Amino acid sequence: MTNEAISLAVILAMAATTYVCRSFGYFLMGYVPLTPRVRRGLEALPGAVVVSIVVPGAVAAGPAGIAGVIAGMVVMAVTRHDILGLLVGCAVAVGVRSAGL
Amino acid sequence: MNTPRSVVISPSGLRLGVASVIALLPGVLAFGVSFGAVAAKMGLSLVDAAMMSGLVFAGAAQFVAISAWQMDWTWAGAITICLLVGIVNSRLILMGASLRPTFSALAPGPAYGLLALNTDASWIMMMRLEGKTEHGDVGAYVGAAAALWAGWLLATIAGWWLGALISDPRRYALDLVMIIFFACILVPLWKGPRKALPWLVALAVALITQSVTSSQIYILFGSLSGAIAGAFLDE
Repeated sequence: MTNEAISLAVILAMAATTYVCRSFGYFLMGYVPLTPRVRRGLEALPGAVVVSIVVPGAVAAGPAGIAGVIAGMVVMAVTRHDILGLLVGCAVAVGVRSAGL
Repeated sequence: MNTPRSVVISPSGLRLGVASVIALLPGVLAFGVSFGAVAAKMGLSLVDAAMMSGLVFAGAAQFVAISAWQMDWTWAGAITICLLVGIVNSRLILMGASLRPTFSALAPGPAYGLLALNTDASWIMMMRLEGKTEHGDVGAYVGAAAALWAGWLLATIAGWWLGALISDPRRYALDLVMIIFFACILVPLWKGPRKALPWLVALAVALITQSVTSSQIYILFGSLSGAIAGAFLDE
């Protein structure tokens, strides 16, 4: 195979891998009976996913990430407006970065 | 077992979905443009870059893949890229699991079709809009996913052409848009300290995993531990 053909094959394999990830959890839950325990686990899942993305991501991004996340959450808690929280959070992160922290 | 219903994609739902991702679009577009630019630098053709964005449609995984891209392919190189993509996208397994109650009203065909469009942003929209749309109406999900897909694809193509014109998306915190938005979404998910105990477990496990591995597998370990903790905490 030429390199171009292999690149194409790799892209298709990436797409297939990603689709398996997208559908597998849904598929699996079709075979797990929805007992109260499983339901409580599923209910805890969204928050757990979000926490697992946000905190390590903010830590890896350094002071700007941590300050931006905290600012966004404070604005959201006060105003209940997610877009406003996002804008203020990003503004704070830009500010911290331009201050050279 | 619910009887499968036909898919309802209401115009009002579609509009709601598109409107709800507009705030995210600058970040998505900037991310897409930088992906296109990096892809061009790594030697991907325009067709390769556009196909990857159109078919894989998973930003973080695509960045990881092109950073390991090769000019002379080896089996090991190709397999490594697929493994990396699976690790980075493992969080989608759990997001898909949590969509089961929402999509269970649909027949399997439409449900598995809709899952192909799932991304961080469209998933979080579903969580955010829970209760605001008619049950069984997937218009908001389709609207959000279609807007994100079109934006991502067009930005990739533009970025491939523009190359290095967008020099530093970090300067405008565009790399942090997704994380900060997720943090905002966390606030309405708060249902008191007791319900947040699983979050604490997820947090601890994610941070520990992050400190020992450099890959994003920490998202999988953190979320899974949180869900298990939630399942075994008594009501």
